[in-house]
This record gives sequence, C-alpha cells and structure tokens, in this order.
Amino acid sequence: MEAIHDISLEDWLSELKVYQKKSIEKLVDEFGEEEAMGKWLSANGPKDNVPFGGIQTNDSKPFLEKFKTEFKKFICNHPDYEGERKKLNVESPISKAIWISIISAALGATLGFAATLLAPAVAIMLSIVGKMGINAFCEN
Amino acid sequence: MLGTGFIISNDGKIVTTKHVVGSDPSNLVILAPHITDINSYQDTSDTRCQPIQTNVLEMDPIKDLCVLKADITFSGTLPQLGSFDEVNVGEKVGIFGYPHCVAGRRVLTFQETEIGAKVLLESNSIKSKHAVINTQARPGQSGGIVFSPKLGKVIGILVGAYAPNQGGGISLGDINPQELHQTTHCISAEYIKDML
Repeated sequence: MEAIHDISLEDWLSELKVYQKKSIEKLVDEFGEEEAMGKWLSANGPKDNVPFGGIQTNDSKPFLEKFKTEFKKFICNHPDYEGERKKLNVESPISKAIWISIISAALGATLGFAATLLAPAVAIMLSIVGKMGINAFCEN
Repeated sequence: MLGTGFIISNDGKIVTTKHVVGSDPSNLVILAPHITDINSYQDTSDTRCQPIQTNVLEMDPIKDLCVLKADITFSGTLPQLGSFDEVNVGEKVGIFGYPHCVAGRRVLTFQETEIGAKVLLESNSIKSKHAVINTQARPGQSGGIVFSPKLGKVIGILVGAYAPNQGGGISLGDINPQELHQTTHCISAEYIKDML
C-alpha cells in the first residue's frame, strides 16, 4: 500500500481512458475532487432529455457515500476484500492501472456497478489516500 | 428488451447508450438480430430469442454512451464512424432502431429525416455535440444509429427527445405527452472513438 504515496492526481488520471480523463478533469477543475466524483457517478446524459430505453430507476440513495465506504474497507484491510487485496499483492511492482482496475472491479462487484464507471472515482480516491497517507485515511 | 445497439468491431463490440444498459452490468445479454433481410416481413408473433452473454467495456455517464463486448465474432461490413461536423443542417439522415421494443415489440424499423439543428447539450456543465433530427422517436430507439447516406457513415446515436422539467407530469397510459414531438436528440458519433 506504500506504493501509492507521492503520486499526483494528474498521474492517476493519466491511466484512464481518454473519454474518462477529459470529463473527470473538467469536473475536478470546476467542482473539486469530492463533487467531481459525485457528479460523474450520478450523471445520466444531457439534461432536458427524456431517454428512449432502459429501465428508469428512482434510486435516491447517496451512492457516493456507499462507494466511499466500500473504498475505505478495501484500503483499510477490511476482511470483505481480503481476496481482492491478495490479487494486488501478487503484482510487483503494482502499476497505477492495476490499482485502479482491481479496486474498481472489487467495488463494482459489491455495489452492482460497472467497474469502468467507478474507475475515475477510484483514481481520485487513490490520489486522496496518497496525499493523506494510509494511516491517516483509515483513522479518519 | 431495453433498447437498440449496433456492432462496431469484428470481435463483438457493440455501441448503445448508457441509459439502455443501466449502471449494473450483471446478467446482461444482447439478442441477436432475428432477420437477415430488412425487406423481409418481420413476424411480430415470433418471440424466439437468441441471447448472447455481454459485458460492459466502457461507459460514459456524461455523454450517455456505452460500449459492450458480446461473445461473438462478426465478419460483415462494419460501419465507419463520423461526426455531425461532417453534415449540414437540412441534410438527409437515416435511422435504424427498435421503436416500442421496451413494450415487447421487436421490429427493426427505418426512418428517414433530416438534421433539424446542431446543438450543444449540457450534462453536469460539460457540453457535447448533438443534433436534433426532425422525426418522432419512441422508447426502444435509444442506441439506434443515425447515418448519413451521402457519407456512408454512422454520424450519431439516438439518445432520446427534448423534455424539460421531467418528473411529476401527466402520463396517459404510460405515454408521456411531453415526448410526443419531433425534437429527437442524437449525440455525435465522434465520441465513440475515444471509447474504443
């Protein structure tokens, strides 16, 4: 876990796909990291548009909070994610892309959310943990 | 059935909208086309389906686009991707989709119309290139192709229709009167390239 210290947000975001990076950078610039994550995770296309397909849901639960709770469990050695953390430990060195990919997949499976949708928020959270230090993040 | 999609690679990548798929990719399948000739009579009583296991590869919640990966290989001609930058207002476009498929009707349908306007639509302060096409679309057509016969390219993907102030309105037999007009929204196909 020490490997994520001193990595800038820019470096984490550089691991994302171009379409993710372009949008999440704009959101971070305009709203800051925390709000950018929320806006990305809750976005559903353009406003004033009625979609012509899919199933309309009215899930008003604060998804961002659920996401952050699960992320913290992963980083802070909660037993729920022991197996997924082992996957990280077999990689040496662990690339930034691997960090994002394994955590997104693990959290996506728990939350019932596409891993690719979570990836930009995971990248931001990893940057936050790196800045704070894991001990401080987990005690918070 | 949730909407329309189209194949974009020989290894089974399929483009549709994010709202067709939703955020949860579990147990997602596509139904293989039930006809091989658009001029054949489509039997609306034929409910046989060929489901194919599918995963979500990429999803853009800002632009409402999604790339799926189905467990198939495709050997036919693939569509070229273009942009609304390449056409002018007033130019003819064709659209293919499955109107009313969300109600269980499976009829691949062609409509011809023209670009009525080019617009920038905003999602969380990020603006993206869209077009208004002058035809009425219905639920099930999201994810359908908008193509330019002049260019021979897919230039857009149908995403819905203009409807301000959604929620709390009147609904008549599951039909929202706000949707019944010819201001159909499509996003420029150029954004798909960044997702492949």
